[in-house]
Amino acid sequence: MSAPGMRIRQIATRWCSARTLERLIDPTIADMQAECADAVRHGRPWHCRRMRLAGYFSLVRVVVLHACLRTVEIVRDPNERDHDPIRRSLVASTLTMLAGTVLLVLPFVVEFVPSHLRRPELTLLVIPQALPLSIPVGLMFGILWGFGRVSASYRARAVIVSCAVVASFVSFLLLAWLVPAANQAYRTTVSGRSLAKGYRELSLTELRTVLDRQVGESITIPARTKPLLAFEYHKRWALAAAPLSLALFAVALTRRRRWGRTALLMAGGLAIFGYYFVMYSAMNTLREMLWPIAVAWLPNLTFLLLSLALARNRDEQARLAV
Amino acid sequence: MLTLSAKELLILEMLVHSKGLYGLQLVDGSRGRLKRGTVYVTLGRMEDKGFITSTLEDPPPGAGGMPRRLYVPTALGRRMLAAWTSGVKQLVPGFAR
Repeated sequence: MSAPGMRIRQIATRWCSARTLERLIDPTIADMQAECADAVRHGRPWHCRRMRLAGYFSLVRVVVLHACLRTVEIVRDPNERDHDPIRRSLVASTLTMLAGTVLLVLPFVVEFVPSHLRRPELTLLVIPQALPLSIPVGLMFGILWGFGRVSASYRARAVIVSCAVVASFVSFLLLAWLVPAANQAYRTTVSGRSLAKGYRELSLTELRTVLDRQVGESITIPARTKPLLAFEYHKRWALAAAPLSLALFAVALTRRRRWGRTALLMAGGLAIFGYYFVMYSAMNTLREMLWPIAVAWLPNLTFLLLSLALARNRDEQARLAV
Repeated sequence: MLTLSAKELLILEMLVHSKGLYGLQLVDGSRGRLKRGTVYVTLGRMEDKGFITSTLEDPPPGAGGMPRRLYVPTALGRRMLAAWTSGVKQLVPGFAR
């Protein structure tokens, strides 16, 4: 049996720099091993297990803290040659997000709303619904456009991934509170009277409360729709993580420098189609067969695995080329 | 301009009064002000600034495991600590008592 932490160290050697390993990972693992060895010497196996757990928790904490601090350093001072791909990506992402939002909102406003109800405030209430879809799409296409066929450094990719983290946080705020509130405001404005909330108008905390069987007075949802509610709850979390998972996929894809920009954008289009098709269409079937949380997170997990496979394949090709 | 954060000050004070300490010994001696794991982020920053230096020490015979890092203050670190604490004493006379 290997010493505690050695398998994690093996994984860390693939992802962390030598400096990070030497200064952060190795000392934390060495502490864990020393404490475990001391506990075993004194005949305290449960204390050893507790120290292992504390050691793993410390490792996670140190990696997260180091990643955050490093990202802040890089964002404050990127290299000059990183300016172009970062700027191109951010501009392309913003334009694609705006175009996507307009494309999603316009047909709804023009076709589905009766002419006597077409008011500017109603359009504003529809926009939050479009953003959780347009943000990840815009970010992914922006990365493919900005980084396609460019030899971007690790620092530039770190800046873009940190932007994706921020985008995911914004998506979470939208999906948890703003979109349900906007939906409800839209419904009451159009109907001209107070309406009971449906499951799509519940905030994330209200949804959790309903799932825990504490139904409020203004909520009218039959109990048999619990699987639907559970899926809605987990779907919002999963959609909030979509900017990050699609951004990681796009970053992994742009490392394949033999692909042209057109090929990358087409691959991105297929990815978006696959993601939302799986999320919204196949889910109706899979929801009956699998746990709601598994169904909701399936697209994100699929893209994360694809990203890892692309990155690993790229590393192996680079090693063979040497 | 070189500065000392509260955690860096604490670490330097502990190191100056010893012959060198491991990260975990710093955590244990800090009475909760330093956390395991994250102490190494602070120690790495201090090494970059030149306040401390570290050496790898082999584990005791029979103990096994990876070598651990022993941290000691540099001359710059000692001067920095002296300057910082004397500056604080001048600004806050009650601290000097």
